[in-house]
Amino acid sequence: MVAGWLLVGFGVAVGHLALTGTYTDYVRVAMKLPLLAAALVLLVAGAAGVVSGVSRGSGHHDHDHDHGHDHGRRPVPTAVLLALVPLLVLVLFRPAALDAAATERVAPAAQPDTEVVTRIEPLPGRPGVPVPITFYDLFLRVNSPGGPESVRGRQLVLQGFVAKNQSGLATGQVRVGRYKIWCCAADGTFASAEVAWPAGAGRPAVGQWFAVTVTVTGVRTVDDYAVPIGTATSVRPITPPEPQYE
Amino acid sequence: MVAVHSAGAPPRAGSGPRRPVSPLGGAVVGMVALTAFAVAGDGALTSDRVRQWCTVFLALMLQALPFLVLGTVLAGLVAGYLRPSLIARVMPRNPAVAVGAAGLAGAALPGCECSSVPLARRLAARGVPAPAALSFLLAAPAVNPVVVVATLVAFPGRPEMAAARWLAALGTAVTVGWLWTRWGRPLPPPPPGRDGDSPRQVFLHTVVDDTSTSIGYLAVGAAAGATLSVLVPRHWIDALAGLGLLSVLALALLAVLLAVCSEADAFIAASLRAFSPTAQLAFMVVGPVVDVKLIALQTGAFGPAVTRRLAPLSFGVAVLAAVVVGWVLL
Repeated sequence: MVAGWLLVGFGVAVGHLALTGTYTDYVRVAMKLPLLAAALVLLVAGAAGVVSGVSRGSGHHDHDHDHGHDHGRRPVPTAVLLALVPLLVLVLFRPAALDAAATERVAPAAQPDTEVVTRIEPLPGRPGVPVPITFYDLFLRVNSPGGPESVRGRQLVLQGFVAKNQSGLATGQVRVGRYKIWCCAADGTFASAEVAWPAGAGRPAVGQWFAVTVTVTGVRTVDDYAVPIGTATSVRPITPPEPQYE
Repeated sequence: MVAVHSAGAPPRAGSGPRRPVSPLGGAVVGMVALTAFAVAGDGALTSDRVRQWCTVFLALMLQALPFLVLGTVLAGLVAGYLRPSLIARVMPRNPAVAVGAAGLAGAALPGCECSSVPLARRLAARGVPAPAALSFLLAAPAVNPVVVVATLVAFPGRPEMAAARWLAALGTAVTVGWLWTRWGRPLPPPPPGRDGDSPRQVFLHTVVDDTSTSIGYLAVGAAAGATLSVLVPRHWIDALAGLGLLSVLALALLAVLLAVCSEADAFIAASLRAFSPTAQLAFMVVGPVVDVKLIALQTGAFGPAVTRRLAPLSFGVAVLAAVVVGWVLL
């Protein structure tokens, strides 16, 4: 019966995360339907398990079920107890998406080994018209042959936040970036740019989200990768977009 | 191979032999120790790091849950509604061919690790030769469509990981089955009177029990993944990952320890980004065929004599298969 209630609890938690959109802090947007479906199954199965447990009473199961584990005995299997941990973590800690604080430990964005960029597409739009781009796309371009030329002289519009790690920068420069995920937050990588902040705008706060219009002026090599350097022509504070990841 | 039933009754699943130290407890203790080492090696356990750990932990849980649930529902259907006598009737006579057929049957019949053990046992009782039953036991958790889809999702843009996993897992199941025809032992039959429940009850209980325990094991796996991603110093990971074959063995051993459901292990493997694809493959191939949970289940169902051969054999063949397939495909 504990198992049944556990499943009901998970069904409620997962369903809530999916319906409120909070799930995008952890996994990709496309997971909404699978999560909702799983929540439904968990609720139904859990409820049926609880009802079945109630109707059986707390008696010992005389006949063996076809399982290797001995759920016929009390106490509750360790695994079921451990399954409570994620629910507790969710309820007690309510962890947010990967944010500025996590950038402390993170090296510049690393390309997955097999994501080899063989051809750089030219940027859409005409020169002189600012074009939206992701931090990760910008990172790929400055690290691929032919990429830097594709962004030279163009005005790029990026959405990102001010990183906690501001080391290694020249005066007046700010490191801004955004996390890119492939599968879920576990593989989140921080893609960033080092941007000369407009003089009149004042020093931005760590973690604040901005929409910045940037012209790329060069690159700086950190470890094995090139990090884009640019000048911001305009910065506008924004609320964190949903999803927060690229 | 003659199935010899000795005078002493084999241990009944459900009543269970005396339980050794809980393997799950061991895994948790191991992880706490790992965390302690990691914290000692990399400075203070800041609240930022804890929050980040929680985010990655929950991310892994959420990502894997839909696949885990789908897997246990399908396994429950198989456990409740599939009649082993049907399988036994269509099984080829020749043991070698039967092993291959059983391995491929695993591709069609999703089986979470929890339910594949008793199903294999029932197959053996209905006359399926032990090597074929074992081949099915090893294949079903790892080559079924849910696992393949999960692996495709976990490694977006890299379908070769799913292909490599499927090939290596099938190769492992079939090879172990073939080796078992030579060096294996018969499987003890299940105790009589097991079919008291209606199929619907078996289905429901399978789903509820397997899902709840699998979520628990997933929590341990996700916690380990989060710890390795967030808390363990990067240069430790990089140093281990750079050790070539040793890194493959390290992830293979980790897979044994973590006992993550096969529908979910691809996500844990994908989060271990510092390691080579072959090492990640080893994690995914070894996990479904031998881990602390399976060892416990097999000991309960088949007895220690069988498990003592099956577990190390599975481990060795799985690692070899991962290395070979990884070398060719990845």
